[in-house]
Amino acid sequence: MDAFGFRSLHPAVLLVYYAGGMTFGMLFFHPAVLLAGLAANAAVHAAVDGGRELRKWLKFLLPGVLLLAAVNPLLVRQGATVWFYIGSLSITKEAVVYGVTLAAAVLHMMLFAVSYRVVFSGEKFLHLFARWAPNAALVAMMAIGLVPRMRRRLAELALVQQTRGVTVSSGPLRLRAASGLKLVWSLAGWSLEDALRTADSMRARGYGTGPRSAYRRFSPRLRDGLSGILLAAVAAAMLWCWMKGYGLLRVYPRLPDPAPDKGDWIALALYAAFVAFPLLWEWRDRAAWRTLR
Amino acid sequence: MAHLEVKGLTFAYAGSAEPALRNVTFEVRPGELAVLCGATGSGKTTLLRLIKRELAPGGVLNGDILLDGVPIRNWNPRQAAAAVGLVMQDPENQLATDTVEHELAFGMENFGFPRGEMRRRLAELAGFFGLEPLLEKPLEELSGGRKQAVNLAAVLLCRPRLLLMDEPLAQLDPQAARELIGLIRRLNEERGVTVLMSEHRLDELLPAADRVILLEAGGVAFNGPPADFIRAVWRSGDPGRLMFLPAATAWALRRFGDEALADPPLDVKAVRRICLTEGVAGSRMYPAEGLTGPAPGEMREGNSGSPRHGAERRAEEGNGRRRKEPLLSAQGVFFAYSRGEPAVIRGLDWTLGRGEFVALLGANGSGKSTLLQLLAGLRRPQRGDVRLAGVPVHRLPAGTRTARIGYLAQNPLLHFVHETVREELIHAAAFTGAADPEEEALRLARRFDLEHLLERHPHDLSGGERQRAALAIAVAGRPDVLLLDEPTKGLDPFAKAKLADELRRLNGEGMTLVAATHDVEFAEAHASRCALLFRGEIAADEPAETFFRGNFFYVSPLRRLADGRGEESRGSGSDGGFGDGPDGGTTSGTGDETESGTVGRQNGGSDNGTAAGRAVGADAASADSRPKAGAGAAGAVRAGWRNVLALFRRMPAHLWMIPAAVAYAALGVMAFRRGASLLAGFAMVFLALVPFYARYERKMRGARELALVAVLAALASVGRVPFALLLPSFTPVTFIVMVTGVVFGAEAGFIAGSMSALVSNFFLGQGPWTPWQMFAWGMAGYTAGLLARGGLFWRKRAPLAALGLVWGFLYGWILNASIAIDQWAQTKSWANVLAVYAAGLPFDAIHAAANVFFLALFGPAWIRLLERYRDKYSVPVDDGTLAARNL
Repeated sequence: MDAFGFRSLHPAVLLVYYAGGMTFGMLFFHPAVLLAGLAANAAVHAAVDGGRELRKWLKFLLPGVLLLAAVNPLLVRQGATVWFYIGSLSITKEAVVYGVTLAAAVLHMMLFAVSYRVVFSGEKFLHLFARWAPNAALVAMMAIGLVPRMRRRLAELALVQQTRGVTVSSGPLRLRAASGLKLVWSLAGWSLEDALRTADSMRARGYGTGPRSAYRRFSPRLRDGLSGILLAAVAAAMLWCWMKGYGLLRVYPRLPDPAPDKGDWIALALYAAFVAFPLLWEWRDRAAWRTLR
Repeated sequence: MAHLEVKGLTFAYAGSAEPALRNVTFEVRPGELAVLCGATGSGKTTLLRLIKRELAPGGVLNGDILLDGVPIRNWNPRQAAAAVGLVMQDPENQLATDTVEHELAFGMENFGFPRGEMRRRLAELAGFFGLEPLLEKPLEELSGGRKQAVNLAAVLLCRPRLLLMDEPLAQLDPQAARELIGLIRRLNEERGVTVLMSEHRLDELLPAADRVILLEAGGVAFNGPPADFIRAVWRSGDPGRLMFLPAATAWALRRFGDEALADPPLDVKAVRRICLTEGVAGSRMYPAEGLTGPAPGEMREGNSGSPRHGAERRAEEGNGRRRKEPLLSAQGVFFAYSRGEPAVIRGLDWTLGRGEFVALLGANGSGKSTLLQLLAGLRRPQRGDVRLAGVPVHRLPAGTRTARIGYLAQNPLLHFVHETVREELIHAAAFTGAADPEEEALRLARRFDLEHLLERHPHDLSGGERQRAALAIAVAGRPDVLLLDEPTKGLDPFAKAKLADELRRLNGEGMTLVAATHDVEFAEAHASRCALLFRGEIAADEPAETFFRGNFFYVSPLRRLADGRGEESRGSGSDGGFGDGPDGGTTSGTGDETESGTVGRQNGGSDNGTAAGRAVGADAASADSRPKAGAGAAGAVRAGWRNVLALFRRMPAHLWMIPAAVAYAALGVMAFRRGASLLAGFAMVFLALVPFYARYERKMRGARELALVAVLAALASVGRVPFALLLPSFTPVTFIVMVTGVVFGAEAGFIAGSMSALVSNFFLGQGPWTPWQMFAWGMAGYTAGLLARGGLFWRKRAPLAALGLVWGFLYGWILNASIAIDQWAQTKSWANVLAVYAAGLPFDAIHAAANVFFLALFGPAWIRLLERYRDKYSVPVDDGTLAARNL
């Protein structure tokens, strides 16, 4: 699964991609740039998992995003060009454009979050932070191991505690909430008791006897180095664009012509390239299959 | 390998006058498998923990423990930890991490092994244990037996000279236990690993043992080879010792007397051999001799002690079976856990007669537990129904149902929800409708021998005591039928005998018993009827006697003996043929730190080599030499790449993390000034997280501290789900986080809070919201901790609830900040910012109400609970204000 395509990259490179993609997605504020980014993002989703995860999540994400776009002009009175009135409420063109752009930016973030879920397993995340924050990474790793165990135990507790009149499935809300917390309370006692055995087992295996080393499943390869350099270069170029004011639409006070100018086109091209970067490795490895067959 | 010597060891726990160990002297030679046996409380665990220095309990110690001739206290900490490995009883709570691979690597990381060395050892041992296909699996998905195998492997990866095991088989079903014993035997016989293992059930173990050490009341009662052990125990005639004899051996000794004593048979095969030479055909003699298994009660009291017992009882009940009045019945029951899944119970019909004692057997995962839960009315079948005396159980009100159908879960801990045994009993009595719950509780306590434990916390009881307490709760309403799930699991022979006596007494009083069990001996000795669950149906249901006669695998050792079939291949591992394992001689070499270090480094080198090698499309066999040979620009690029990598590896992480954070913050400020509000908010919240985590990382944290914080973070994450079903935002997460802050300090509160956001989002979905949640929950824990340290609300409800109210709103406000900042950037109007906040107000209000509700009602109880653990295990608060004795 993780041997080919974008997924095969080192977690650090993946982090650069997601951090960069999201950062510049929030920095550029131009409908055209963001739409290009959205398109590239959708293409990445299609390449990475055939868009399965995206379809699953879109039905939860879209309503919020649409709401955001709809609410902004209702809330915001700024803007010089009044488009129409709803009752006494003036709707300005600026607020509409701003709302739509903002919604696009937020949707864009969501798309990153969804493909992050597909590509960036918890293990990769921990791998990165095991070095920056070893204590925190260890706590996270331990907690991730505990969550499914505790969920199972909570379900068992809920089942058995029916025999003691503690139930969350019937009765008034207050009682149910109290029962629920009682279950979590006894789960807490049980788990804390267990935690001490776990700590014993950690110390028995030498935890705390000196500095630790880190076992790593991921080692950086040439591919990762090239990718990192490429992404960094594009990011630097984008930063330059943004400082020059490219890819920024000044909506207020009066909406200018929203068509992208030359600078915006550069920003658009750079950003779309950055976001579409995973396609490079997806296609490269797919081609390998074709030629090797 | 190792040589362990224990010389005149006497030990008393701190604050106790009575020594737990008295003048214990023995030794374990290199390559031996030594078995430590003795009743609960005889000091086995204390002894093992004293040998495992890191876990040595506090107290007064005299005498010496030497490993390879050097007292263990003279070993340096790291060497001592590596030299002695320990596997404990519970397969689950020894696991520290999330996946098999992380767990295996964990120990090696602690010892700071180089990366290549870790990979090599892991590859080798994963092969030996057959864990390779499971490496990436979450540990939670493994069976109990596999989890214990992972624990064993994780310990062995540190290459201990001496392997200690503290009842490693107690929590496993017989099949898994046999597999693990096989593994341990292989390790001992083929690899020469020295093992000192405490265990109650010696049936499978004795044939493999080189030495048996019997502890009684803290002293060594016997120390010698297994054959001598059997002779000594047999001659002593002490029922407390006879319990340790394997069933087949005990039978042979009783049957053949002194002839067998000369060369005592250790397993079924040996006994059968004796039978052959003596000209006794097993199958003919079996029923005639009235063999009912060595029920400990019988051993202790002779045959006279157990009234309804043996063949005569069976005959009586076997005949009477059809005449029994039906009490509990299942008709055409189908049950599946969820819609897509295959049914666990498929069209099951079963009737239980009044006054029966039924054993329900079946393989792991055959649905025995599910069936009991269905019978108890705890789950409702999708098709068919379960009736108690003709009335569908789901129609009965919960109190009545519990009073009439008792249910004892596999894990007794599941029954406890109060702080003392007394409260547990009183509540149980009250719920099942006792007229005077307090009086009834006392009666239960007397009956189940719990009187001296009434004020104890249920979690502080021993395994047998927990079982009795749970049993008392389950029968509080004097039910007509009692359903027991694996009642003998993890009990030592004494506790088991006591439980069996108790159950027989209840059965004698007319209570119908159904026990799902793996323990064939127990079933054979006590049940009047046995049923076999297979593919969701009752595949066999017969009086115990005929049931076991017809079985081939579900038979006790004695039956196996009588059958004269099966069981040929026991101990086949000892034939060897595995001499040239993958690791050659390295396992035995303990002094070769430097040598294996070199190997490790070479391995690390070839790692990178392999990467390069594959890029060229060549085979990676001689990867090390390839870069030199591989001429031209490509080779130079790769060599340069390796240098860059090495440079990055050497650089401390903080060196580039801090500038990165500063740069990001600067970008955020610029973004804000240019109106890119989304990023400004993001940069802000990231930056806010950094100092907290930087502070948390300033030193290595103790194992207990980490484990406790991880549990609390996981607990808060788990709490996000069940309550959300009641009302959105009505979750106890903030509550748990705040309580953590109050008890364990501001820092722990922050980490637990932010971790619970991070961790739960691994399961619920990470997104741009994650850092905001991390910050908000982290701050909730942090402020609670700060104010608690100021003495503001130690155990006071009102101020705690007030802070909960505040955080109910603040949490939402922090999460809304990104949109609010944007509104400000757009309009520079406070009204708009307020409008954003107003929109979220309903949710915030629910959240605040939940916090107040939980904190006011349960805050003190939770604080007591956490304080209990903080003080019991002296976990440091914040900057180590409480001395951390055992990190």
